Amino acid sequence: MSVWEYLQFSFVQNALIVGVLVALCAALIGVPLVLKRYSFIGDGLSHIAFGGMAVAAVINLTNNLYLIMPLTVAAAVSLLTAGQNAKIKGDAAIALISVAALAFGYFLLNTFSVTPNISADVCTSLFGSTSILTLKQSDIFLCIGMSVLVIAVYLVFYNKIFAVTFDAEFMKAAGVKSKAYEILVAAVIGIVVSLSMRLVGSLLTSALVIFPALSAMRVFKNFKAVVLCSAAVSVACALCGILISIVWGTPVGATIVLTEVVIFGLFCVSGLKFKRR
Amino acid sequence: MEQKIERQAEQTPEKKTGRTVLSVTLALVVVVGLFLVITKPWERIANPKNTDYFDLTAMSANMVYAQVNDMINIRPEAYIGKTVKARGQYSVRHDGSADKDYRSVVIKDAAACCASGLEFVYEGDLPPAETTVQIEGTFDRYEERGRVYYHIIAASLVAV
Repeated sequence: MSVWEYLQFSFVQNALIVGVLVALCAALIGVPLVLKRYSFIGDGLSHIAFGGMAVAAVINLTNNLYLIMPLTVAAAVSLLTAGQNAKIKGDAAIALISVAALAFGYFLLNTFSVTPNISADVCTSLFGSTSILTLKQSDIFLCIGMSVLVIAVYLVFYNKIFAVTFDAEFMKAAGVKSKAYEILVAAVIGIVVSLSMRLVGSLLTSALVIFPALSAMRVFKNFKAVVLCSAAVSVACALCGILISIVWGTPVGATIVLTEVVIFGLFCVSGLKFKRR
Repeated sequence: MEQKIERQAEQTPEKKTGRTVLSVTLALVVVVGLFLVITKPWERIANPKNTDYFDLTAMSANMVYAQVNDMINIRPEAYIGKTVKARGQYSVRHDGSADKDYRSVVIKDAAACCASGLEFVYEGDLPPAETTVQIEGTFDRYEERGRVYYHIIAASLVAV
């Protein structure tokens, strides 16, 4: 079958729409994360989301996003706004919560399994093999709704996000409520990580967040240019990755991430070439 | 001459990089646009060739898994009366309480970690379990013990 024939199927169209929106949101939030040296938080939060998914599966929730999203947002807010007074700081806090949630989730799924094939559930959650192609109607509406919300928040509060990314202390000194905007950014990160699980799975979510930003930074030095380039790269890689995986039968999440790795390599080479001029 | 020197001095490396990237992007957009105008994919998507026949044997592993999931879990009623051709491992499960055998074709996704079963009924001779088979038949609904289920009424079954 040709790729055009595959595009006739409604679940493929849904996968492309949701995949593109989620990739766009991940790219937008990836730039502030990378600049604030919080690249690894995507990984940590996705492990927490996995723990939430396990709890949702055990209690038989109709849509596990209803539990995963609030849990991930709460974790993101507490990790990113802990500040200097936290007893366990930065990467140690992320690692602590992340591995605990992963172990807890896998323990729950094994001990209180509700499906006959635990390996399949774990594999789908961790690597997102075909989850983007098996979306229910409620999943589609929720993903689209939350993606539009994230994009709208980013556009409306673009200047504040820019300021809180580069110098939150100066914002505070200038009398702006930087804490509120930090919480907003953290909440948006939590939402994006929850949505990204559907596209690439828990283990590969951080790639969706950081690779487009890092690729754009090889070539551009201006914040707006990096954001725009990052968004374009992320959307293109998500589209290509989903189409390649559909046509050639490769795992969706891994294909998208590998496409991003290739593009990152190309941007690195381009960046080196432009520097030599 | 002085204006030309001034203009050249204003061409910082970043501006040159941005201009190059913009040019490459515009060129890509033009190429993709021309490709879309020539192939007109929206016409093919809006007017599919055949919506009554689903040949799962011609699809990739991911598409087969997703299609079976759509048939069984998402929109089963949309496939009633359609012809389905599928290939997978033949599996038999005996239900002691109903004293009935349930036969299905098990289809795995690309990573082979997830599997879906398409239940079928077939009047002819059946191969041993775990054999790879190819079936073709009509997708239909049936009721049993007050619940609705879906299966394929297979017109043909071939061991592959």
